[in-house]
Amino acid sequence: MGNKYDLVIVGAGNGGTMAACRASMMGLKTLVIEKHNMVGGAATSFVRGRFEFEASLHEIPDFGQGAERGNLGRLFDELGIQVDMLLIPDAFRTIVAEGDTVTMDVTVPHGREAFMACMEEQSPGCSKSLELYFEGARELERGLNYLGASRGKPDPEVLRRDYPIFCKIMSMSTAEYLRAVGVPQKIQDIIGAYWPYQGSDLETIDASRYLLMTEGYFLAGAYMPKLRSHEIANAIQKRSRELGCDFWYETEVTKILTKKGAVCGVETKDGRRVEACAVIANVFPDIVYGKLLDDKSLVPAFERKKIQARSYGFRGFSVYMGLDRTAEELGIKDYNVFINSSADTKELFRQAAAPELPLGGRADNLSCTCLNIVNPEATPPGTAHFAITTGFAADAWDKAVTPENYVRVKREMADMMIERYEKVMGIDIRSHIEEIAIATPVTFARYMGTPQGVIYGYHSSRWDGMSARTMVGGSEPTVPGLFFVGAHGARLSGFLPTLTSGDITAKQVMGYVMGGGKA
Amino acid sequence: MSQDLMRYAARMDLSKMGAIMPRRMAHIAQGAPVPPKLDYAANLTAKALHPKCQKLLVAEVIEREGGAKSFVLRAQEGGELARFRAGQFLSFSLAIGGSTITRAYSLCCPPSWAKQGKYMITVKPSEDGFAGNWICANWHEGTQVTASAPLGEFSYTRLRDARHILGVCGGSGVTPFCAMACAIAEGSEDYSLTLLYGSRDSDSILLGEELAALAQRCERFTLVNVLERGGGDESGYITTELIKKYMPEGDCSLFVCGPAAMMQAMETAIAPLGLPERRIRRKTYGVTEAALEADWPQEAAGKTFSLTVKMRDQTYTVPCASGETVLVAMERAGLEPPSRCRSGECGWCRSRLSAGTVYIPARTEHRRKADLAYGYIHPCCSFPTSDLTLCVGCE
Repeated sequence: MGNKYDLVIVGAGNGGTMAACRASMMGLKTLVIEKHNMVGGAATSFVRGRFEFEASLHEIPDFGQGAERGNLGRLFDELGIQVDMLLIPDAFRTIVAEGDTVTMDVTVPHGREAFMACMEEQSPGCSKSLELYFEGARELERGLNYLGASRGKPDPEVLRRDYPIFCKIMSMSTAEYLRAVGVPQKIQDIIGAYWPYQGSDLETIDASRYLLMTEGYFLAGAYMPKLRSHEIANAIQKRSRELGCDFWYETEVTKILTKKGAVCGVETKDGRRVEACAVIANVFPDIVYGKLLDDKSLVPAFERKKIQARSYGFRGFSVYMGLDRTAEELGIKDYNVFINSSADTKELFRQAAAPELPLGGRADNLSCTCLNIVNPEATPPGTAHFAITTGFAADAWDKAVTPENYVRVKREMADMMIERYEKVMGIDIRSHIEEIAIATPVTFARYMGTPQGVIYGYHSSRWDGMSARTMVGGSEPTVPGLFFVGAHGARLSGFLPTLTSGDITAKQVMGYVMGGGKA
Repeated sequence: MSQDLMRYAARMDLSKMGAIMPRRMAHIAQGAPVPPKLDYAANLTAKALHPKCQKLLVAEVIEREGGAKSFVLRAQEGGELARFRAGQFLSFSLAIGGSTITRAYSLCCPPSWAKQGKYMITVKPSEDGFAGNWICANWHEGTQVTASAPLGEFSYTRLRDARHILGVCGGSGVTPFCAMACAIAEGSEDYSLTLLYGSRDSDSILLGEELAALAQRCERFTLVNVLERGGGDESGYITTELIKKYMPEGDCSLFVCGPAAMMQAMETAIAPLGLPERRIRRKTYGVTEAALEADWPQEAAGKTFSLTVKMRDQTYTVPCASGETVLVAMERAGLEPPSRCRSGECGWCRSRLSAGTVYIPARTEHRRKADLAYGYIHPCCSFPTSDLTLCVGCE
């Protein structure tokens, strides 16, 4: 083997690049191998005509400025990563329209005071319950810090004595926790609008995950990078490079090599072998265990069973449009509008998990964003960047699509989504489409290589949500020297969780390498 | 710890915490200890629609006007080929002398051919000197060739374009329109196409017979041959007046495709029409030449710069003439940098310029904003104005 590294990272998504940065910062000789010609994974953009479309990011929490600097912002500061962030004015506008009849339409602002005032207006007297709700977030963070400090081996007595609320929240679903602290139904319906971000209903998503997310968004606000999410990827890459990390693009890892039961390097499609003490896979465990690992007998039976027991999270479907009018001219006032047919997330999830595509019916579960509301310079003067996204929780797309009908099926889905938005909002989009691109699960499968084009990792089931994955600690071992980052991690999917997973995992790798390759 | 929250928490069940892991274990125990499934339909469809490369062979060579040739291509292994939208192109990888270069050629056959396992492209040697001449001289029945998946955005899109397209083309720029006319004729597309096709004289109308036959049998395809030397449907050049004359009533999308010089003339011709930008689609055919660009820094003319190329664990230093693109300089030196569209659009050649300066024609500027800010270029449309250091496929 000609090349020798402490760490090889396979895949340069959010988790992979962040791990590269942290590992290089700690002095590990690191090589990132990416099969595409740039870093970022889902954190990317693409150019059509005079528009540059944001491929994936709707908003990123935990940045904050000045005294409000959030954890992710502080992590970037510590690592020396600089990204120009723009504050998003409102959290969201949530619209429930059964058919064309709007039954709920609320615009929710960011920031504690504004948020509380808005909720109070919607349901007088609810503030008390919301204060309790958010206090839970502090208890949760305190408990998670203790868990982290205990390196996955917490003392049950200490947990019970000092962290009882944390313990209780960890065991609850979001809906259970909302009910327990007495949040009125109407407010639950509003808070529930973020459900598609976790890809499941409130009775299923862990309270731990939802609480951290909503606290981040509602109270601390959310941000967008000025130059699309690709800027985040480029910025982390640049810093990693400065810290000595090497990157190989257009290079596909075909094998993760092992020796004496532990990972010892990788082999690429063009036959290069790179020696490494540890390998971080920013790749689905399915693919690592099923395809990349040279000795499949090393995969613990438990890990195989876990993959079979799990189901996949949302498969994405996005319609990106460059419009030849400004947001103002079009009448678009909101950065992000959620449009659902019901406030009942269980019903919405049931629809998203339907075995058939709703072709010929009505598109539901839409998240509609206009980048220019946050960033007026996002597109040339006189134009706007508009996107509508939905998600599928089942294999409907897999069944519906063949190479033959692909173009037609994706057009029909996009057509339904545009029509739904236009009818509910009373805004004409269709007459102003200068550029349009439609990304389907097939597109995500093509670019990200995930099974079925899933963008959210594994489904956040009650037995496999953030709480369970966090409690696992190090008790579900894989092959020694093999580590995972990405949406399948403890904090699940999204920019914050995947970036964080890279940081945490690189530190674990450091421990492994320092220990001479012993877990 | 909040006393209020503690009071509420009294109703919550602390013992449930202990149930998290047993519940997880119980679920995982139910999973079968079998290898993961990897052949999902969405992934297989992605592979079928966008294969990394296609191994083809020349099944038939058809002589065309003015020394041009059409090549019918089939899969070496037999079977279906990746589907395409009329107007898309294939990027071919060509080993010529000691160099491996790429060239993009539009598919000019009906989209249904892909399912039957065949494609057709047409190559006009004079227009694309180097590669075109080589292909016409060296591709014979049975020649094995390597192509990309179908690529490009110069296609009708129902959610965006008017149902009637007014096509304007010259030379090889006719090839994507030929596929569109075929698509309309076979019923796989349902828009109408009026094509203003500029050629020198009646002997130099590339694919002239095929197009005339298509127009004959297909009501929704109208062909207007505009011949410089007269004798066609119209005489002279394609002008604003001529475009106006054939512009259909109501909504219409203008699709323009031709060599760089023609594209520049067409910009002047279409400007007075006052069409909104969303009703104009452009594709430039052929190679990008610095000397054709009005704002090319003349002081670079005639100079040859030094180009240092970093490729993973190797470094090369090669000459780079000011009038040719950075991509061509690398290919000429026998390196194999990635590239596909060669017109700045696809970004496949994206590389980081770690030292030096380049000139990039405004019409080929399709970089991401963050790439601009972080020093990345598309070498296929970048011309050196100093010595350069470029990181290709690595950093």
